[in-house]
Amino acid sequence: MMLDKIVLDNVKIVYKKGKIIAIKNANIVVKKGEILGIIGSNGAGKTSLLKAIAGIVHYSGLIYIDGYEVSHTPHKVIARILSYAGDMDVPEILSLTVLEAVLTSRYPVSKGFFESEEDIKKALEVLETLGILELKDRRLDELSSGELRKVILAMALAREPRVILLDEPDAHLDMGSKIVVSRIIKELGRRSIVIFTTHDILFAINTASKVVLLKDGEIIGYGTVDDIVKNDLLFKTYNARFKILLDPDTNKPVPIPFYE
Amino acid sequence: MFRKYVCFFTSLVIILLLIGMIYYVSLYYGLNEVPQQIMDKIVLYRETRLIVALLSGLILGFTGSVLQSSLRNPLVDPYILGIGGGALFATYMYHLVFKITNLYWGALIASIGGLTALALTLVIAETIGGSDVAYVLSGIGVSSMFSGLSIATYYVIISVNPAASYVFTLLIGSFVNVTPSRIPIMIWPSLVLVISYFIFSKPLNAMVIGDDYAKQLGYNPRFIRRIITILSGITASIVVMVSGIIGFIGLVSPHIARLIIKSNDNRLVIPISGLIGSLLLISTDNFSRIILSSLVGEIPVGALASSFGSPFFLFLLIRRFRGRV
Repeated sequence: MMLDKIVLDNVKIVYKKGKIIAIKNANIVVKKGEILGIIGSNGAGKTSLLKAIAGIVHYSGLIYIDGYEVSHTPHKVIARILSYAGDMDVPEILSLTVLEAVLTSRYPVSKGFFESEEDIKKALEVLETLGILELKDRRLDELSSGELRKVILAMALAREPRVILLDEPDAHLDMGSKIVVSRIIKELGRRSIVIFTTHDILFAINTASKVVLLKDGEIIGYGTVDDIVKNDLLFKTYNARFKILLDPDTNKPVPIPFYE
Repeated sequence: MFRKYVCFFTSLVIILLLIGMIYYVSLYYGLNEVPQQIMDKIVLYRETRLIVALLSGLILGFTGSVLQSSLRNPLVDPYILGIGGGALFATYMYHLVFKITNLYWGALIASIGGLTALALTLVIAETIGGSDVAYVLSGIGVSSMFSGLSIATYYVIISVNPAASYVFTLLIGSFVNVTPSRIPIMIWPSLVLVISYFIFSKPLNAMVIGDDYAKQLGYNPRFIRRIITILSGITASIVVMVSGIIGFIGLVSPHIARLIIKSNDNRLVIPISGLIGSLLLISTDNFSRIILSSLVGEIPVGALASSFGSPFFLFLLIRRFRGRV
């Protein structure tokens, strides 16, 4: 049994009957206590990869979570282990409030038709942790994009999943909030497996314990921060040159992009 | 959090009380000096009419709210999506070809008509972009086509069988021609909807947030959407077969429900919306039967519903687009 481990074995994702190849051949192992950051340019396949792990898009190859092969396991079972937080297009007029939305996240784990005391307690706790408790009665369509980001994160955490997939958790966030989110992800990483995507390489290397570099659906770099923060790899990923400095305090490499 | 449950239960009790009151008053209104035998007949007729109005409203309010949530579109209802027109045309064709009126066959044929129109509306709406207004435009096109066909068919029915003029009321929506035999055929769809409420209202909350979100909670949004549209299509078609086209009740009821319980939680909105539909229809019908009939005659309930429903629809449209320009 592969417990507390996510294994991607030759995962390939194609859209439109093979016309678009989103992911060519991904082999990744993430163990409990690891935080995996996925970076890459726009359209590199980051979101597709996350969605495949969540069982939302079709793929070929094998993805194991806790010994369950995702595409051969009912969604209901996966939903109890895993949560996926992606982009959200909130409708006007019909939107739920923040607290209601966070409570929907607990549907797979709560039994009754209406929410229990515990559901409400957990939802409020998560909102408190993320510092957005005061938003609880606001409707989703009234939030700013940064506030919505935090609510989406809260919705991912409310059912206390063992695997947390976050698609650009730092998008639309100001610097201070990014650091808060990074700290929360690191805290989550102690109990759960966290995989996130981001466009911000500094956010990635300061949050993740391992990083995957994606380019046109292919993994071109995979390893610890020291392994992947290299000029040639970053150039290949972004088609941009970076200057790599060493942080004198932590001795960590810090990539800085060249603006020519 | 608890406020919405308080609102929910208070509205539930108030609406049920109002329905009960209207029901009782309209049943015995003005029957003081009528002989027992005639009175029994009148009460039976009134009771039938009330029950059909209640169930029609329940089904329309119910389907309106589940259609709005599953399509994530606050502007739709069974009438706007073309179910009304399609079901009416099919019902007329059935009258024309078979004459004998077996209700269960009638329900089947009306449902086929309603579902065909609904499918047509949905496909066209998706082709022209799938925005919420695309559904309205596509629905208007499909409804107009089927309404036109229905009116034409009505004239053919009358020329073939002049005694069948009662089918005219279906065109506008009215409870004047109800008979007790029509009640069972409305109870089944109502029961199906009540059961589906318990199955689908939680997934619907997730689907309003988004399909990907619903999927990762373990639901299958495409499948659920299909089931909900089919169930709504069938049940709303049966309403059309029995009571005719009653527009805008399905659109207005969910919005009133959301307004009074101050929440968009489908577990609360759907039942209140159904009951609001019932309340609106029995009060409108009684208003027409008791008050308007002494002044101008019994105006069909469908005409009244459209008169107060469409301004509300226009208000929604304006509200929807004011923020965008």
